[in-house]
Amino acid sequence: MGVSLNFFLGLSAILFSVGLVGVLLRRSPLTILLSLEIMLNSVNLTLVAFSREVGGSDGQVFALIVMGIAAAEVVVGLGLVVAMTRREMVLDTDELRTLNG
Amino acid sequence: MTELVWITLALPIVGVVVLALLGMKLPARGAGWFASLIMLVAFGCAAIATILLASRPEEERQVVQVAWTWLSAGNFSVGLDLWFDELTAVMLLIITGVGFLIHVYSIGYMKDDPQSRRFMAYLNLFVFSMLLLVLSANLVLLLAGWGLVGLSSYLLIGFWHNKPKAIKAAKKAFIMNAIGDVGIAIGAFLLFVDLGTLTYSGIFAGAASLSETQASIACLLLLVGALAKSAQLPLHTWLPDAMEGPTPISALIHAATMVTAGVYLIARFNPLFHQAPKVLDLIVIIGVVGLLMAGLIALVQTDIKRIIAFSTMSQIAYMFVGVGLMSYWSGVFHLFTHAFFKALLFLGAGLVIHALHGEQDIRNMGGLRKQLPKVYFCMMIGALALSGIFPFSGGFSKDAILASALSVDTPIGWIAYIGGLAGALLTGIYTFRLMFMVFHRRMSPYAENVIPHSVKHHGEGPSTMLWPVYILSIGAAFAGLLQIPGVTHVFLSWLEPISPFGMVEPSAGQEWLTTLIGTVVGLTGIAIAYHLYARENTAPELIRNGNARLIHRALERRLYWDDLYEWTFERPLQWASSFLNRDVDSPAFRWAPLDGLGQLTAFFGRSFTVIENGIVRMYALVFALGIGAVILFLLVRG
Repeated sequence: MGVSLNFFLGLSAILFSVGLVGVLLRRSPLTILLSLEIMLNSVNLTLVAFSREVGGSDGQVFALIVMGIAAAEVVVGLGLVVAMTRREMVLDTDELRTLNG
Repeated sequence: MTELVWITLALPIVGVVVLALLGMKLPARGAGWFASLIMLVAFGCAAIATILLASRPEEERQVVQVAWTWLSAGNFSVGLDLWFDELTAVMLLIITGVGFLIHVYSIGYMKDDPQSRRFMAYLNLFVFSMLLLVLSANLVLLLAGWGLVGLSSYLLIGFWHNKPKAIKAAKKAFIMNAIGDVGIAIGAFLLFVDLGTLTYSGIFAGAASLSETQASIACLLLLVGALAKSAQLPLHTWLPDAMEGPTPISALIHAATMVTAGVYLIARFNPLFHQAPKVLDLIVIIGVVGLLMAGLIALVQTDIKRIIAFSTMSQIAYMFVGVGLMSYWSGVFHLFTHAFFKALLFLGAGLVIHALHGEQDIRNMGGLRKQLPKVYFCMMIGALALSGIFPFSGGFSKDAILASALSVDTPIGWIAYIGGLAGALLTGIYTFRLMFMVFHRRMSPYAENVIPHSVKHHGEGPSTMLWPVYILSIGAAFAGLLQIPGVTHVFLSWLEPISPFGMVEPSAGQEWLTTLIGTVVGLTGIAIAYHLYARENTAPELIRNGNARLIHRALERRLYWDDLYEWTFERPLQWASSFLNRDVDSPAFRWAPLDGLGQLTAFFGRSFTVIENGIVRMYALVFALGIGAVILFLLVRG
């Protein structure tokens, strides 16, 4: 056991926070998607780290599923970004608020 | 062998998928031929599988195969199980064989319809559902097939969806059949509670351990399903209306295959029904009353397809009598021959309607035998077979049922015998009323106008429509020879193993006697029809002058069954809902305090729109804070 579990968890927490801050502060949809990916991958890191600690492969399988879902999510998200660009809409989430009550 | 059965089942669904996805890329005719080809291959597979089954020793002819477990919960599991035995083989051959012919016929019939591809896809869907119904080896899968045939029947009756009457008829058929579906579902629940299994083998093995009451209730519930699907009393009113659909549908679904599913169900569950003799007697009674009633109503109908529809109801009632008497082979034999001659009559009627540009009223026909000689000849074979005239197929099969009634020799048996013979007389009259009104007597002005033009341009019909009729005529004429009393007994010995308790088998003498009486009765009916209708339609005079007017009116209104249902279910529901709407709902919600309540709700709703500000980052922040709060709470508490 080279690196202890805590290092992984710490890295994961840092990555997660970076992603969260990105989602909360950035206004460009593209950057928000990027930040989301960072958050997802930090969770993946936790899963794999725990999996290595426990010795089973469940966590790795789960991480793979997360990657699959993330890929699907990015497809939809990027598709939206492309569609918005084509319609020459402003790429700013604060301006895109037609759904307000 | 089982592989072939799987292929038979899978082919039509492949057809549906291909037609649904690529239908618009195919030319309309190509789609039709594709669907027909699929049916031909399916028929080939079914035929080879049947031959292979026949080559096995008798004890090994019942094949059950589990493909995979479909549902599983605790110790209950339902598999995609397939049951292939003699009865299934017969049904398989009928469904795919007659199905193929009707697919080909549809190519010609739907030639000018822009949506013929959708029609073909539905047809394939129907065949798949029907195959699933007869191939399943447990009640759940049977119910799935049962529901799916109901669905495809609904889709096909309402195929011309801009025709309000067709939509209404489709809904009616679906609702009536839903009653039957519920019956079977509850029956399945009961059997599961009693026996803990839903597979056929489990039910048949456990049937003997059921008390008569338990078995009777389960059988009654299954019977509800059979009655609804087979359009028997009192759930029969949907069948005549279903004639609003295209004619090939009437031939395939509402004559040859789907409506006989009830007969199949009873024959299939014979070990269970054997424990419930009272229910079997009830089936016979329902059958006798139904066959007489439908025969009487058919006497006065004027729509060519409705006459044949009531005739179908009447013939299925014969099959019910057969299976109710535990003479399962004769019921299924009649199902088999009926598939030929009734499909033939429907397809022939379709040709007549086609030639007359959509006219369906037999009073507007007449004298067509010179213009449509081939159709006349073929339909004559069908009509003779339907009237039970020896040696046409219907004669053998109907007489097999009646001879079984004779050999049972109980009060019920005698009721069935006498009722069946009376029904045979009615059959002769209404069938040949149709034949004479359509093909003999003087041509009506309408037909005189239309027919020369139509025959000049199309002949009697496209060859895709004529050939299926020819082939069915051969079947209608000769299918009975499989079972000549005392000479051949292909059908009886083939189906004998499906019932572990044996079947009623009349002696050759009883059969010949019945055949003789049946033929004489049938010919008498034809003679009466000839007297009344062959030259002129003289029946209306008789009715107008005689006291029969009330009866005639009652028969024309189909003995008021539809009115009964309208006044007992439809109208009260309408009254109740309009009362609730007008006198309860509206006043209550205009009442001041309740109105205040409504305003209060609206106020709260408006107040909370503030947080729905549309800024995604805000949502994300609230979300993150929420999760943070939950984690904090867990940490503090833990």
